[in-house]
Amino acid sequence: MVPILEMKNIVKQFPGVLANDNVNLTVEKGSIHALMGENGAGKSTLMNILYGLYSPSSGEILFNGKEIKITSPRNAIEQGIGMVHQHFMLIPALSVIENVVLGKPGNKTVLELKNDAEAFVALGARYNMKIDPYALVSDLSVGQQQRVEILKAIYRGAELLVLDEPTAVLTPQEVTELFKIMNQLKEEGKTIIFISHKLNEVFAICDTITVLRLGRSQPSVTAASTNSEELAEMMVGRKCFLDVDKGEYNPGETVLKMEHVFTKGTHEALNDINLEIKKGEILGLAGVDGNGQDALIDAISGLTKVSSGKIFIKGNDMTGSSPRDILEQKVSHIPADRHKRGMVSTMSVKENMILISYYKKPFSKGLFLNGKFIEENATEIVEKFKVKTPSIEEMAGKLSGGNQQKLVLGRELSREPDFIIAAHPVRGLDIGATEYVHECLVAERDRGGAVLLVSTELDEVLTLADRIAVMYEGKIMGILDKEDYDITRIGMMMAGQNQ
Amino acid sequence: MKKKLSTGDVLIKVLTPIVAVGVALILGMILIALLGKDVGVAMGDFFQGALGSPIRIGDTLSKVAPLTFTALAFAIALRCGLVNIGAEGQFYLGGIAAGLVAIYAPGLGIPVIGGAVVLLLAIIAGFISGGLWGLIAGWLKVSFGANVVITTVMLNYIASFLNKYLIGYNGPFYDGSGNPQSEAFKVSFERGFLINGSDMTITIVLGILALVFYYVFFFKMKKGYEMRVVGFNSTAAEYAGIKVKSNALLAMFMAGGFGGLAGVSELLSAQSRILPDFSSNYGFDGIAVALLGQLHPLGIGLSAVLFAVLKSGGLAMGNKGTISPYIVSAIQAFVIILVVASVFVQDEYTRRKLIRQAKTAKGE
Repeated sequence: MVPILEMKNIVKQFPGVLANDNVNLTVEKGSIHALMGENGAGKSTLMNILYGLYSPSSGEILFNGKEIKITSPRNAIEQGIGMVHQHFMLIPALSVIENVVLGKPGNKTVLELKNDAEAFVALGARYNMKIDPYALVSDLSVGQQQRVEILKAIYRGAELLVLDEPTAVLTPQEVTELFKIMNQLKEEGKTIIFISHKLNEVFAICDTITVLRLGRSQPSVTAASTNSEELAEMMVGRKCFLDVDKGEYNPGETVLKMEHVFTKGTHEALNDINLEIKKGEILGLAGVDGNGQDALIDAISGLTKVSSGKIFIKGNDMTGSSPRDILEQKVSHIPADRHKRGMVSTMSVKENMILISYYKKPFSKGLFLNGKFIEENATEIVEKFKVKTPSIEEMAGKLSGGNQQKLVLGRELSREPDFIIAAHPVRGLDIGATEYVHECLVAERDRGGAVLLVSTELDEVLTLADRIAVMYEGKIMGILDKEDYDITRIGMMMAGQNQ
Repeated sequence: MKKKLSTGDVLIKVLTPIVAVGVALILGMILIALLGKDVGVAMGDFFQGALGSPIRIGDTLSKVAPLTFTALAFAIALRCGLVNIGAEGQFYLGGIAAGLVAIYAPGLGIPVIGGAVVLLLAIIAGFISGGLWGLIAGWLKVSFGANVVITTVMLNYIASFLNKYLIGYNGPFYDGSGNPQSEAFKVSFERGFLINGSDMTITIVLGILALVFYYVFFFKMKKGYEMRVVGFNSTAAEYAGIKVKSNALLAMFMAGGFGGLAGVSELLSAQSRILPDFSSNYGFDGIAVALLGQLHPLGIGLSAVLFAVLKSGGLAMGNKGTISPYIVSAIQAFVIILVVASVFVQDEYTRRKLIRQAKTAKGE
């Protein structure tokens, strides 16, 4: 049988980056094909080429055995290629059906929404999906929005469906639902390219696996013929340790204490948070993105005011204190969005290193900055934390993601903090940098620091945390000790159920 | 571990603005030729008028100080992420305050020993009034989120009309002469500074000092660092415990203050009383000067000199009557457009260089 898709010798050159370097990908009709690789390995570039968002510098694409040119996403849809992006391409202010017909080939001047709605509901029923076509997208949950995206692609006639990290935003139960739908699509003869970097998911659902590393494709393997270690090695290019060595769990006195904390706000407001973190422990905060984790961090770091309740740091009442007063309590913060919050990308590495401490001796004297000490300090941190940069004068924005995170990490950890807030500290990092960040966090814990680790990656929390708290809609559903870790139970709690 | 700029980097940075200005002048000449005028005569008038004699050069340089100050009014605010289009209004406020000091302070028993004390008071008054005028826009921004571009433009109109009222027929500072104007200044900056017989005054030294201050403040001082962080990334600033609002207020006060100093230096150097519309567009020229100088203190100084030449050469062409002064405005507009375009040239240069580097790294 002719493969449904063959991408041959695809090259994509960006300024300064060769994103795809002779990539080959062959996908059989009616299969679920995993596309794996670290961040920056070229997966998204390859799929954006397939979906007509980029044009390749060279190489050819065969669809059902015929060479095709894909000039735009609309053109891709017309040829039968659909894509569900990691960040949904839905317009929240419009209804489901309005989103579905948006840009659909064959629309008349006056839309026939009613006909489309009926057909769309019928299609949903085939996959056991109940969908109200007139509901506003903004009223749907993340999981529902994703299902709308998938159905939308099929409704428009997609034969080949690309799902870009579809599970990143889902609870374990929703993932199971998604996999059911994927299997049914496969039985109907549709083909799916499943982008992921989660090994267990790939083994659960995929037939064939292609790994990209540094822009190059590795020979494809069948899921049945390989294992986790082998895949991880293919992705990183060396053997890696999926586990972390930790010292004995020996918690000391309480560093952070939150008592009945509430905040105002619309959907993510904190609702009666009680939490304690002790010296020498990592508390993992799990939960689906957008369930109040950001609000919790903002409340602790003084960026939003709590409406009631108390926050103590090392026994001092810090409720309502300014962000600087809280930082002064030797609190370090590794923010989720380093570009937005953790660094100033248009400033030099050197200037970024003093972002938190610039006003204090010895970083400044009187009204002036102490240029000599600032340079020494930056040089020292760059060396100690292995930040790869041509010079401390280099603009921070020009470093790679991993090195930017090392910059933030170095700055924050060199302050010898008592309490570290680490929000998604490895998001967007490759396995090598991830290992390094994890080692650093564990070292801080072993040194006697208290660490709040916020993450949506359950694996990360399970590996690193001494205790796990699960957040759902601004509440803490429960806190589990290490011996009670149970992935099903955590999954239920992430979905708002706790028995 | 110092970052090394390659010769190419430096060349492209210095050359592009120069080429931009050169092309603008050529376009200007084409425009003059299209109007059927003699290009040679016009250009002769232009350069003769701006640089023809030591006195002419001094007259030209007398415009450097106000241009530098209005450029700083734009640059300082932009470093804090605020687009201050209000130097024109701040210029008026500074000029009015300084003018009033120069008219009335000597009558209040303030010693006039060489005018120094009065002039110092005028400078302070000009800085503070311009600063407060800028602060209005800053306050509207931090309290209500009002767009600084819009509020500063509005405040320009208010300032201009306020001036017209104050020295108008019903205004408190009308001199009763039958023309809308104030009384003559009793004290002003002494002309002929450095070049005898020219309009140059000591304000050019104040301008240079202001550039030095600008550099030291933003690159050596705590507060300047803070302001730049706010300007580049206000969210990161909040995270670092930096107060974004108070920095915005201070930046607008300082920016307005320098706009005010522009008014002080122009009014008490080149004019003898407060008249309607005494700015002759300095506030807006300052924006172009700051952009052409790429917000760099040295660049601002050099492009202030260049704009001074354009301004006084244009004036000379206009005075000869051969060319309308509007043609000169058109040439200045060419300069601005081409300078903006030159930024893209530099970006393209950097982009191609990166591609080259990537290719060499891969051994292609």
